[in-house]
Amino acid sequence: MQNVKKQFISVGRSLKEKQIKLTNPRKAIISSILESKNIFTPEEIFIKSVKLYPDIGIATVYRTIKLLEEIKLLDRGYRDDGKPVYKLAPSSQKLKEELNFKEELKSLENRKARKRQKKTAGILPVDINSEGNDDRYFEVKNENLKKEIKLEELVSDISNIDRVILKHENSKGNLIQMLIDFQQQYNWLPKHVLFYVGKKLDVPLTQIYSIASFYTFFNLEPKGKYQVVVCAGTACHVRGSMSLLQRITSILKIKPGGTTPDYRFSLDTVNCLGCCALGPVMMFDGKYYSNPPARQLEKLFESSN
Amino acid sequence: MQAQKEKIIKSPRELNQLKENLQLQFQGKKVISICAGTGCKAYASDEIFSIMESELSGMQKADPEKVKNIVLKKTGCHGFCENGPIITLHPEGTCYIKSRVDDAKEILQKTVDGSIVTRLLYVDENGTPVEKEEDIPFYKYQKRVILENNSKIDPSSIEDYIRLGGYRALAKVLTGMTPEGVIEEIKKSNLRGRGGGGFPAGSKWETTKNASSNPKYVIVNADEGDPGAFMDRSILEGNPHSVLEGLIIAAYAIGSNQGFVYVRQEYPVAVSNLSEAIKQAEEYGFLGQNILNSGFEFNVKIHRGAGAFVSGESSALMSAIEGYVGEPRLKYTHTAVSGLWGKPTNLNNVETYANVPYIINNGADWFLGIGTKGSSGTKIFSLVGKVKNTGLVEVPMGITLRDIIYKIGGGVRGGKNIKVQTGGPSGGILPEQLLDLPVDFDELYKGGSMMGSGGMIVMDETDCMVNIAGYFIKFLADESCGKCVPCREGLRQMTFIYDRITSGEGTVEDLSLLEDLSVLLEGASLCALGGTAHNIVKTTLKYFREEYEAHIYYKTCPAMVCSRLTYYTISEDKCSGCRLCVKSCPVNAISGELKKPHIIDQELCIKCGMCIDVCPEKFNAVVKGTGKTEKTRQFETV
Repeated sequence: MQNVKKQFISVGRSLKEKQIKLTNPRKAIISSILESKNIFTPEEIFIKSVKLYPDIGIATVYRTIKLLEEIKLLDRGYRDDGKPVYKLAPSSQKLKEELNFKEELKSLENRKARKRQKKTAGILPVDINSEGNDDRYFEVKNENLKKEIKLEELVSDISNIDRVILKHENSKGNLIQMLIDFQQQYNWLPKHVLFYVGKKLDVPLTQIYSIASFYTFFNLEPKGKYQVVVCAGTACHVRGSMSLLQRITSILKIKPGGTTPDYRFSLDTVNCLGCCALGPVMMFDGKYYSNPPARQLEKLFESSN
Repeated sequence: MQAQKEKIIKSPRELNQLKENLQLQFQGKKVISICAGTGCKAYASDEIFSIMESELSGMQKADPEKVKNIVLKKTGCHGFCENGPIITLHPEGTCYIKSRVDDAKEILQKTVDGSIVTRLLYVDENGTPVEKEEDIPFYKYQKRVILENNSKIDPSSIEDYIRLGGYRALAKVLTGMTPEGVIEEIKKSNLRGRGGGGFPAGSKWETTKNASSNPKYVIVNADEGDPGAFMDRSILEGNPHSVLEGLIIAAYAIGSNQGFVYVRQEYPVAVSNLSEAIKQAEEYGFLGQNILNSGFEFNVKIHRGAGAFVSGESSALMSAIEGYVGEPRLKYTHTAVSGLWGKPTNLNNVETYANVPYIINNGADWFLGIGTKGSSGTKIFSLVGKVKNTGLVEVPMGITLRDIIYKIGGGVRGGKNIKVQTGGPSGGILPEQLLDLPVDFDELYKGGSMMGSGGMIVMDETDCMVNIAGYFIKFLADESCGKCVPCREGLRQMTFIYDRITSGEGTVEDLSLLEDLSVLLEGASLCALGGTAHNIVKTTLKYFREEYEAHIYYKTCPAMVCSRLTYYTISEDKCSGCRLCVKSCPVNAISGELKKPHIIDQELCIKCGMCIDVCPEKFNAVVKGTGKTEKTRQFETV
């Protein structure tokens, strides 16, 4: 226990070194963080800190957490649904004693008590092993990093990017066409491609990102090997595409737009697949399936590796 | 290179000669055309084709004389998607429906022998098989002009198109008509934009032609994003040359040398067929420099759209072609005057262009003879939903909705309380009492809906109008580009309201709020996406207000669709305890032992309806009900 505590850095000192003021709301947030379980979201911290310091706002919580992340006191990871979660960053610096703001805050109403408390502020009541050691969110982050391209691959990739750009006559007007080609080749739009295209065509990266995020066809995150596409057109909707979608989500355990953690399947909906007579229809690996029952879906997904 | 140059056609006479040669070659041939549209492909029409192909080549080796007149063709959509895959024999017109892979050899063998496979013919109401395609009610009441050649043409072969008289209109225009004459003809024919707006194409062309700056551009809008609509896709996939020919004629009339086709990337077959068609047209000299020796130059580029509904709007589409985000712009000046790169640009729908060669060939008077006074010609609809014969239908304007649904569509599955949704997300829903409304740009508008690009979704008593309206509003809210506030925020608020109503938490104020918002959206939106969103809200509020009220006052969904207002129970007397439903329930909400009545845990139930589907018909123990509280469960029906 003591060891774990020692791993923590002195928040107070760090903040002081960075010339960051320790205001009461911040104290409330920090002590809530130290009190909370291993992995936490800003919202959870907000709920806890409100109890300690009722005037606090959610924006302050977000800001403070961001600040703490910037000074490397917190690590950020992502949950399956894409929401950020945080944990205390492991660090070799020593834990300082002055960090128990909780008591201090409690006695805000009573000045005398507050003074007394300040003198006798003890070691932080932190138990980071209190609940679930859920490191997998942070692994997902690493998984994403793995998908980032390596230098050698990047070099060989550039000639390929050049070829596509050349095919579209080096023209800014054909930017969307190039992105479609890249999306088809990579199954997503890797960062390096966008950077390179931007530089090559002299188009600001913001413009490329605005295009890539506007059209539904483009993905800024890697997609699964197999695409499961459910038609959500009107004709399929009236014939029950929602229950088909529900079946698929309950089997694959992902929501529309999501990808399974092993990058095997991605689930999406489209406005119309153009075969309304078959509705509700699903496209999997380029083939159409008309209202497949749960059993067939399970078999289909299991047999695809 | 030499061979390519030889192909180039320099005059109408050469074109005619080529046509006659091709026809001569084709004489006495028997064509087996297999539909390779998306619907039929899903039923393995590709495999049927390859089986027949290998079988035929085997027969050729064995007895070349016998099968020399048999030609296999993979064509575009025949339209009768419900009964796919469709196989049509030409020139007899025999039509086989629902052919399966096992039937492939038999069809080929019988065709070679000159007999027919009776069991694959369409069977009418009286139980008599119908041999000819034109006698099947689905086809009988249609007037197929644009789709006519779909089953006769291999989309990857320009020769097929020329053989059937293709590019004749182009030759006529380039050698015998002035640009003004072409525009005059189109104006006279009263061809109105098939994309939904219904703006007269001739006037649009004239405005673009008369705009002072140069160069001018022509664009085909094939960004067919309407859910439940696949007309443009079928034309582009099945007969791409007809669109190209119309586009070249328009370019000549307007004085443009550069055309674009904006086609959805989600239609890969359309993209590849069109690219192939452009390549072939270039080889034959219908595209490029000095077309048919007339000195007219024209080129076409394909621009693929990456999936944004709003990009089908004219100014948004032009932004997208310029390489920017496809958001609409303010149109102080019309795009016909200042469009692509600020130059005069003519934009028409696929179907509009496909009509042009027919008008030029047959004359404006012929076109005026079809349809109604205000809306001439035919219109293609994708007839989908609860109708018995779903598919692609082409009808003369002025036909009533009832005729389309009953005569062509063969009626509705449920049969009660029929509603029709036309015009995609921009249109409205029409109730049963308006089914005698003629299909016409102006008449549908009077009914509160619109023609739109041609989606026609038929619904019955099992469709909740509040749910459908909420579905469309959600669709529009998702597709809104977010540039203007009324559309972005208004639609978002509307989705919240619909969410409330469909979960039984709506209040009566919500209805007036919906009305207010739709007025606001109509007046203040930047483009038609938000500007027409009111149609769906207004028509459902007008014609189906009692459904809204049932959701609000009684917390029931009369159609039993809204999942938060429905529940499933198992009737104790009927349940035999077979555990089928227990096994099928995806959330394990059903418990019970073998041979004892099962119970559904309402807390766990996600209302997927699996249990009602698997419960054997002889028991029918699962009952679906509607209502939010115990009190309102008295409204339950089976």
